[in-house]
Amino acid sequence: MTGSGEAWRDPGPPRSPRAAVTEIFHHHYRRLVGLAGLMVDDRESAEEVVQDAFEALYRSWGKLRDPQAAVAYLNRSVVNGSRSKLRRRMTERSYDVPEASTSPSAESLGVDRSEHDEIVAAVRALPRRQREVMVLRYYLDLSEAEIAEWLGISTGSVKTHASRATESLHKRMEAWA
Amino acid sequence: MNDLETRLSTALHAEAGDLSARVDLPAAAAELDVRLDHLAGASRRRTWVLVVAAAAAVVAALAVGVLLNSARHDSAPVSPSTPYTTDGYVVPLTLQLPDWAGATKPVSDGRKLAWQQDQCWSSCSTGEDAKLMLLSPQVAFGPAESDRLVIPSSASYLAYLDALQAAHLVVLSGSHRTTVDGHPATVVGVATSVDVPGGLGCIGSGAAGPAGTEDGCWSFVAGTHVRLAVIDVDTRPYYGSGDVAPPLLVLIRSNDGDAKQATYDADLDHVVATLRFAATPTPTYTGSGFAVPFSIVLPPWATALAPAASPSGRSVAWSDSCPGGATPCVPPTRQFGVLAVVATPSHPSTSPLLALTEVPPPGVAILGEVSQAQVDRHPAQVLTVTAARDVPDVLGCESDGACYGLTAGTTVRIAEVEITHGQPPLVVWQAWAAGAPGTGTLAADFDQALVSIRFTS
Repeated sequence: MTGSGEAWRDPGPPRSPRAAVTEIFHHHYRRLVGLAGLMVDDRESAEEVVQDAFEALYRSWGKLRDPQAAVAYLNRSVVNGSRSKLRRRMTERSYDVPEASTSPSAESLGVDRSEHDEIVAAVRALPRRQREVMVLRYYLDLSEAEIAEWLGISTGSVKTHASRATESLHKRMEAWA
Repeated sequence: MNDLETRLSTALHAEAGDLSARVDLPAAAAELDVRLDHLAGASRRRTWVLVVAAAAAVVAALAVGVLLNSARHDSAPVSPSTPYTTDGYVVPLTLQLPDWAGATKPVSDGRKLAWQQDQCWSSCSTGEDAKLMLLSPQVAFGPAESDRLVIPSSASYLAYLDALQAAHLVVLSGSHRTTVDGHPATVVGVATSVDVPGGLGCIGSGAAGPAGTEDGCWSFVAGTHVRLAVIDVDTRPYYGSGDVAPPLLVLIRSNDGDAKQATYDADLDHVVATLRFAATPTPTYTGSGFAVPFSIVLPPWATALAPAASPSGRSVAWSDSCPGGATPCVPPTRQFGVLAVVATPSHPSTSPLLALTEVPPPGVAILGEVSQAQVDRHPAQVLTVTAARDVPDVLGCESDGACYGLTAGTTVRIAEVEITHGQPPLVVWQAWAAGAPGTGTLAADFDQALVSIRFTS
């Protein structure tokens, strides 16, 4: 299951923008916090980014064609908001390794907890652009062309950043073996 | 997906799941209600606020623009720095390195010196992968990518940058002329939103194309910012031609939008301001009668020693005296030698490095990986090995029956220089007792001596 690939239910009869946004909120808020959390460094910032995205969705509701467009709008809005927040804070503080989670979800996915933490820490420590490319590729499952369009860079640059990031992560993972 | 991709995807989804699981949804929904209430009730007031804010932003932007334009680099802090000196570069020089660069070992191959900031896996701020590089490119690739342009001078490189800008591939900023240790120079910022393969230049021929790594090509990469000094220093002694004097480039590359960019720019200015060129060191040995005439600045420990040259003129070596004067030293205390190989019985390629690495002989341990170097424009490969037992003939032979190998109990750093493609190489080597103190210094001395070699015919 991927973040962008979730099916959206039939919206049913027309509702007010506020009711529609609230319903989408209840279905997608958690997932979007997860997405934002991969791009910024803490859950509080991630929630702030997602709240901003829903606020923006409400303001733009009249321009959207359908609820599916609303979900796509939110994905992109969260990515853009996360990038802005990360840019602003890049030198304000060092990255703090997130506190260990007690959630069993990693284990339930068959991933060793320590390896999972190492991989996530390695992705978080990548240079900003490389990190963005990797999250969009391997969490949102976007294609190179889509990533290029979202980030406003060439597909060649996407390849370059992905290649550098993969090389770095590969070296890191070899060290774990 | 390959294994890495699968593990990466799984870990990212698990992490996102963890973050999602910790969300307090009722509290978040309450916050959204407050936000939407505020939006619904304050739209008219917001319009006026936005108008005022926009006007204020314009005024602020104008003011900030004026301030940045006049004081951007004056106000940016400069990183602490440490001195760096090399005799082994195109132009011997001394400079002050920012500490973020000075803490790492430089990557050097004669015409390039580079320091990459720590990758900071988990201990420092995201995006800290700035790079300081000294480069003397002979070739760069033009706007059409297929245009291979020879760079004979600093003026031609500056004209080339202008051409890239005219083709909308880069944006130049803040260009100004200055002097570096008395030499004319231009400092300029280069930003780009597209990749320009081979755009920064190549230290080799560039024959393999703009992305040809074997020719040492570097690119302008989208999403990065480069501050670059183009210095008109006389590189002709290195290139050995009256017509070719590629400029010396000193640059710091950082990620576009990095909030530390002003500091990196100030660091570049500081590096350039502290750069001093030394006179080319006088060779301490000239092998004019050697089979491949050359000159070299010997490692310091060998300078006062007498060379032992073979009658064929294909081998010359310097050996430290043994403790207590015993001869010969077994294993050797320190030896440095140059060997013009005729044949390598142990391998059909006449390459001692292939003989050592393809199937390492018993008792030989390979230390590290083969590294690339440039010796007076000739490609070279360098490797360090330790021999636990004698390995005869593996370095090559200068004639029938006169062959050189490894001695048990030694560490040997070996460089194989390609003089003519397809012909036996020139082998430069240095041996010392395995486990002796100062191994790092001995290896560095060897590397500097290697790149100081100039072929004199």
